[in-house]
This record gives sequence, structure tokens and C-alpha cells, in this order.
Amino acid sequence: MGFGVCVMGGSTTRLAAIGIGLAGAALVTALMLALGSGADESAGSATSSPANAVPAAASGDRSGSESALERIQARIGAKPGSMRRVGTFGLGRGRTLRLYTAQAADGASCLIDEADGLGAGSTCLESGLFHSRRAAFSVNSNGGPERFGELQVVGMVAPEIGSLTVVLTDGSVTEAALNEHRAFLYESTVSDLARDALPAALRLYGRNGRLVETISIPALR
Amino acid sequence: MKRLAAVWFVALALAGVGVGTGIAATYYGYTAPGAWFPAGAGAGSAYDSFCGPWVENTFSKAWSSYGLITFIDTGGGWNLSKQGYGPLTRSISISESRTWRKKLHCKNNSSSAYQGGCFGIREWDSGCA
Repeated sequence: MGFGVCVMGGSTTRLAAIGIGLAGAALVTALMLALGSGADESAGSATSSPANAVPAAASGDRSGSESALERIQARIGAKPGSMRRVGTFGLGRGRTLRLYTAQAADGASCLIDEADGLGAGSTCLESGLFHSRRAAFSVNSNGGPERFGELQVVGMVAPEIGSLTVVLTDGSVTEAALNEHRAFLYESTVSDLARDALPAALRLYGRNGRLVETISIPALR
Repeated sequence: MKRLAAVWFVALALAGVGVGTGIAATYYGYTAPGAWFPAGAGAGSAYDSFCGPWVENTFSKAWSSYGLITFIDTGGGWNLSKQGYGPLTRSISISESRTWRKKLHCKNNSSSAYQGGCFGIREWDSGCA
């Protein structure tokens, strides 16, 4: 869209003319927004279309100030008062990741993570966080798919677990410390990422030091 | 007189550029609900725009299904990826999302096929120009 500018001479008249032009542009813009549908631009394998677009159920018009964490809570339908912080971890470049648990409206148990500049995310499991595995976790990353710029495995272990190690694709093993809530965060080092030595499994040990479970992490790409 | 004209000019310029007067969130399913995901299969959305940025990506799947979600930039790079078992969601702020153009992607990066659905949220600013 263009601006209509009519310069007629004289500084005051010139300013007024530019103002009129901008007002016209604003009016045209308003009309375009009112008439347009905000059609998506297609690229590659794009499949979204106005045909399967629906207004978000409980939003309506908002100021847009809802945080990513608040949106996640609304997404899972977190039960009031169920959200509990279970860990605060330092990430590279001075950032902080906060880990929470929450109960969803449908009864699922959820892990929610939020980090500076990285938004918020969630993973929810039916019948409890440790119903199927003795650790609930997610893998967060930036960069890729050819080469990751950063990567973390974040989660919690079941009460009977005393320690946790992370096995990398090159066979090396690193222990991930558990905090008082049995939460952990493993962050890949720069050198590991450069060598593409990525988490491949979690080994969970009981309080007596015996291996009780190995959880494989499928291919990260 | 000049000062008044200048104030009027700035006010109209702001109106023209677009100070948001209302935000509306819209869901878009970029796969069908219950779509079949063979091992290694993925799906993607359209790229977003400044006035309608993607702010959320969700992969709805069973607790036994491992998969990933990511935001793909115009260079094909993956950003803010999350992967794991069960339903996955990644949400970012509008202000963060407006700083770069992206599309949503979900993928079954496990060795087993499963069913799932991928959808996202765009935040449309009615006052955006």
C-alpha cells in the first residue's frame, strides 16, 4: 500500500498535506483489514487454510499481553492451584529455565518448562507422570536439523529413583544431578554438539545404586 | 500552528502504522485430527506474517508416541523445538514471534507409526497495518 503525499509549498501547508495523506492511508488500511481475511501465504508443504481455522475457544479480543506460560496453562486447562515449581536451572548464556508440574483438566499430569527468551512448553501424560516410565522428560533444542545449537533434556524421575545418567550417541555417559524435587536438567556441551554426540538414553538407578530402567531417546531429528 | 500540525502528523502516522486495538487468537489445524504418521513423517503449516504471527504449536498424540514440534524459519532452520512422549506444546510471546517469520512443523521422529494431530495458534492484530 502506498502513501498519498501532495506537496504544495509552504512548510505548514506541506505538513498538513502529508498528514492528510497519512490519514488516507490509515483509512485505506482500516478498510482493507475489515474486508480482508488475513489469508495465509503458502510455502512448501503448507496445509493450513481458512477452512480449518477456528477462533480460539476462550480468547476473544485480548490485549495480546498473555505470556507464553499463561497460554500453556490455558492450553492444558491447568487446575487452579495445581501448578508447582519443581526446579530452577541455569542455562548457557545466563538464561534460566523454570520447571513446573501441573494437573490438567482432563486428569493428565503435565511438565511445563519456561525459559528466558525461549517461551514455554508442556508435555502431558495420562495416569500420572511415572505411569509408563520412571522418568518424565522432554528434549528442548534450538538449531538443526543438521546441527543443533543448543539442546537440553529436562524432566523429573519417580520417587524410587536415586540417580540418573545420560548416555550419548558416542557411548559416553554423564550423570545428571537430581534436585530436591527429583527434577533434572542435562544441557549438551558445545563440544558435544559440534561432534553431534547427542542424548540417546536415560539410565535410572534405584536408591541402592542398581539400574532399574533404561529409557531410549529416539532419533532427535 | 507548526507545532499543532506536527503533533497531528505524528498522531496520524501512528494511526497509519497501526497501534494494536485488539488481538484475536485463531486455531489452525495443519493436519487432520487423528492423521496417520508413519515413522519419520512430518507435516507443516504456512509461514506466518507480522500481523498474524504463530504463537503456539501443538502435536496431540498418545502418551506412548514420541515426536517433535518446531518452528521453522525462512532459512529452513529449526527453532524452539520440543520433543517427547505424549502431547507436546510450545508457546512463544507475540512480541518474540513478530521478530522473525516462521512456519510450524510436527514430526514423528520415532521408528513406530502412530496417529496424531498438529495445530497452531496465530494472534491476529486488528489494528495492524
